[in-house]
Amino acid sequence: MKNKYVIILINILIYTLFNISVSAKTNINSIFLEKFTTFDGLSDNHINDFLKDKFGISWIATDFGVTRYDGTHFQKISEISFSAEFKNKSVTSIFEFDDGLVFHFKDAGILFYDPRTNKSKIISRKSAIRAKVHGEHIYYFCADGYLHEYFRNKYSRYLIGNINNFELNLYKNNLYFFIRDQGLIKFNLTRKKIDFKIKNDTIFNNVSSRNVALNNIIINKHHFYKVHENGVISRVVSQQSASNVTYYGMDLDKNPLYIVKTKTIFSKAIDFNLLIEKYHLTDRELRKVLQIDPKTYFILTNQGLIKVSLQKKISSIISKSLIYNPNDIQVRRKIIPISSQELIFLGYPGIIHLQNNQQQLIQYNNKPLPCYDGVRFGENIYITSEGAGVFVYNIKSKKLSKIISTNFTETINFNAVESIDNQLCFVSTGKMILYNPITRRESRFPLPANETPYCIKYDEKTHKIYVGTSKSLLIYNLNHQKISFVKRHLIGGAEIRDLLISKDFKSIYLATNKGFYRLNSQNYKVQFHYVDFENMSNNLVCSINEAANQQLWFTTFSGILNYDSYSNKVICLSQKNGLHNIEYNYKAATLYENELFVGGLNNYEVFHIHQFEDKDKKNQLFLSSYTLISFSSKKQVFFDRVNPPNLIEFKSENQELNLNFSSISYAQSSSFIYKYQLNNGSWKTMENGTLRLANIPYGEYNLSVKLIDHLGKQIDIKKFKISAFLSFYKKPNFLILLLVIFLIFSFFIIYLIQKRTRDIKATKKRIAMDLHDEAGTILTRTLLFIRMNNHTTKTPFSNKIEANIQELLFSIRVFMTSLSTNKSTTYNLGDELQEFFFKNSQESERTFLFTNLIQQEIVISNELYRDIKLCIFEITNNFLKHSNGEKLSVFLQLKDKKIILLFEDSGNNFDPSKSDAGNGLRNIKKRTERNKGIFKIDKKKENSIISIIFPL
Amino acid sequence: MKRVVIIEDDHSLAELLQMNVNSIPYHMCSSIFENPLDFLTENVFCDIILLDLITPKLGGLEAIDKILKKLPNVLIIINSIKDDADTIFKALQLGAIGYIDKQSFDLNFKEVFNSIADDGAYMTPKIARKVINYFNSGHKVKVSLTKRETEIVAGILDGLPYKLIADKYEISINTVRMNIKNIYKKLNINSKSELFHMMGYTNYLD
Repeated sequence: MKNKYVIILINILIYTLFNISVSAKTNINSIFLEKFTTFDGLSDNHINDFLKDKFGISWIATDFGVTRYDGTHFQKISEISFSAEFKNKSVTSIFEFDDGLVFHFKDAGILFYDPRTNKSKIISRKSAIRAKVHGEHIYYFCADGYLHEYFRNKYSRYLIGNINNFELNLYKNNLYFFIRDQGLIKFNLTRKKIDFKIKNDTIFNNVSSRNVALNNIIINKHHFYKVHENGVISRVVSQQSASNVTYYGMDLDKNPLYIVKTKTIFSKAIDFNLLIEKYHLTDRELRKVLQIDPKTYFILTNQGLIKVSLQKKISSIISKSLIYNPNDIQVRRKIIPISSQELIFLGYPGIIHLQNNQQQLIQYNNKPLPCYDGVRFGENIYITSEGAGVFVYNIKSKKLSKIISTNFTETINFNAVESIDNQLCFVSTGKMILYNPITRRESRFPLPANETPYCIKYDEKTHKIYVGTSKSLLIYNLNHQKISFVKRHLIGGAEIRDLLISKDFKSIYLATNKGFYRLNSQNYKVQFHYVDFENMSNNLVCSINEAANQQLWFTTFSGILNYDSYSNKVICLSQKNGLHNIEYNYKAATLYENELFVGGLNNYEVFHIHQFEDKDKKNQLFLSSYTLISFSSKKQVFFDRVNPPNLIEFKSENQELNLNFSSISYAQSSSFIYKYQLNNGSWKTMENGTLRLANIPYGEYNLSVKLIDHLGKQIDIKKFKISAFLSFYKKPNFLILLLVIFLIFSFFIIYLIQKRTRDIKATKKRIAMDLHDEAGTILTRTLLFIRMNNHTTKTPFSNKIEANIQELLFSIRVFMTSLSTNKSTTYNLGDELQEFFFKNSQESERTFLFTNLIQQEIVISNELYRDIKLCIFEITNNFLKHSNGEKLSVFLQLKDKKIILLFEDSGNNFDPSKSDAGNGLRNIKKRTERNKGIFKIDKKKENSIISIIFPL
Repeated sequence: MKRVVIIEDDHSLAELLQMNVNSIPYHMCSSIFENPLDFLTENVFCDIILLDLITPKLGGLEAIDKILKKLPNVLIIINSIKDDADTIFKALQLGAIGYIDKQSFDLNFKEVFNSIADDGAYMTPKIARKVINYFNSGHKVKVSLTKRETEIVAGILDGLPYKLIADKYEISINTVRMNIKNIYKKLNINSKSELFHMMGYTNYLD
């Protein structure tokens, strides 16, 4: 083992060059590459064109329609927004036009699409070979040899000629047709005429679409050429070779950005080829490479879309050489900065003195030295070790010497050393040594024997010494070289590994195996305790450092914590955020000039606090789209950062609302986190920036959404209004309305019925009145006249007239009664018949015996009542006119809901065949049949019996 | 001599009725009015009024109360073609004392006049039914029929002539008529008490 360390020592002593300067404010970017395919939501993996519009939304032309990309979500738009002939067809190119887009389809034609309304308009159904957009004009060349123009709903066309194998370029208000092997045609868009043609120039040999670039550049064989407006072709002097260039473009800094042989990308800014190799993309056909913004590139391939994001590094490894030789330093402890160019690293197997990018390993007697803690005192660094004693290292002379003293023997492990009031204080189990480096005087003070002290800090303001141990926080007073015990403070059984007194002396921070604590420095009450680190496995905190602006940095066994003591917010950083160590070591963290030097399991690294604090201020979140999904339909509504919605409405009972949020910045957007809060509820994390809402109680909601970047910092917060409404027919108001309508309808019907009843009543009353006034009175008067006349001169005719008038009056009266709305009953019938026969008995010389056997009152309809009475009148009349009987016995009975009338005529010569009698009997028959009754005459020798039955 | 006034809109008919009335001993009709309003506006004293129910200007039913207020002791006999029991019963409740079917006026006017001559009244079976129903009904009736009155009403309902009713209960025919008049008075009392009750003068009759 010893030999091994010697070899390592020799290697290191050869002054290894640090690859990265430790003090430089590095701006080197991390590169993140993401691959997107149909699995992620692309319409197709064959990508033909890519355009980011002025609203920040990108549009991807594929062989199977168009995909919308907001930086987070891919949405196929051609499926639902295009008419059948354009649906899922191959799209060659995309242009911005007005506030929308123009899609040039390979075969289907040209389509205008407005994302705000999600509606499209067909510009042309003709298959266009090439298309260009210039201001409000759309130009497209078709196989008919014409250049077609669309301008404000008007179409024009200009003859160019039958040309094949050409590329169309728009350059300075002119269209240039680069025709393979033939030459060039310049079409002037102002004059709408061909300016000139160039023929038979060898430059155009084998020129295809791949060889024509922006700004009228032609790539031919090994050189670049430029076609000027006047037709002059000049060679462009370039450092790049034009050989086998398959795509030629420029980045945002106007530097060439091009592809060779569809495999290799040349860029001044990024080594794409390293990435292509690293991510195994060599089998792909690289079609185009575009820089969308300073941090984002897209590579269009035949196997999907590739996004390359640049992200500032928040942390750098201090020395690559030490990483590549992990055995060199096995344990990393204290880091002591001397200057921006000089650092001292303590650990095992010794001290590394780094100066001006050169390092030197210092050991005692050429033996590995397990350094543990250290403190600078002037030009010297006092170092404690594990089982090797206490050492002094002179920075200038780089000499390491051992302190020889009974208190500093090799058998005592001092876990911590701290500079206190021009002295040094060493702590070990059971004792605390106060050491004056100048006089070399030592004073010894006892510590609890059963507690291991790990850290010590001195409060200059209160002259208190704090010792963090395996069980408690020990507090001492320092007064004129004398240390007196003040208090032992238990921190929930936690083991204190580091402690820090805040710059304002108001707080004491403790790094423990149970997270970190913030105590009030006056009463030692816990003000804040952070444990159960988000997404981190181990809650052991190793060290504490305080930066400016009340920011504290904790290294832990699972990453680095940033704590804002003003807002009490903690951000957890791990390897996912660009850190280089999984686990950080005890003592191994020092803040110096806004850089946090940390030592971990893998290597030493420097955490760039300024990079961490540097927020992407331009980045904002926005609602990109929402989708309303119901059982039978799906509706998509698009927004952008310029056009946010005022209110989002959905029917919560049968629709699902999917809200897609995104950020303006595309770079590393997939690692952004979106959190939401409904009204004042708890904050929840969305899945991939999508919030799904369904079955929430109806009402208006305030939705707050936070954008948190990959470092856990809140970038933006926005509020939205959401209205979850019920279908009108499900709302209580609807039921009330229904009830009101029903009531109104009911009242209306009742009113109509009543009105009709009133009208009928009035009509009946009027008819009855007319009958009474006009007919009844005259007839009554006439009857009385005739009767008076009959008193003196009675003739057969006058008798007949009287009888007829009586009959008529009876009919009128019965009819008037039937018009009455009063209901008649069986009792009324009995009473009336009683009176009727009583009168007849009085008026005639015959006898009428009426027997009323009705004992139950049942309502009889007016019509039936009238018919019964008329039947009785007919029979009575017949009896009076045609019978020779002296007596008519009448029986009225009610049986089984039937009215039974029996007439027994004492005479026997009643002849129904007589015309008068026959008429009367026919009437009776007609009336009984009409009421489904029975009419029967039983003529015997002695008498005649007529029976009539009316069912009720 | 009983002075009779005929209120009838058909003048010819009224003259016929006048002739019939004048044929009754101790009865004399000297005035005929087309409607009750004309009668009320003129100061004509009379003992009996033959009142048609359907008359111009003022209906017969409405006129009863007004006539009785002016001439409290006059006997009103309804003379109408309209023979429905409800209307006649209402007239009786208002204070009329009898009813003659206009169509058979010449046949039974003597019976009616005879009935009222000795402080009695006339009742048909239909009215008897209404009387029974009225006094047996659930609504508040201030007075009730005596046993004798009930027997007489039942007799009329059975279709018995007054003579037979008198024989059956061993009373005179005038007693029968007087009881009928009493029944009418009770109807009138009830009718008025209901009216006063409605107006809030419940103690008027107590």
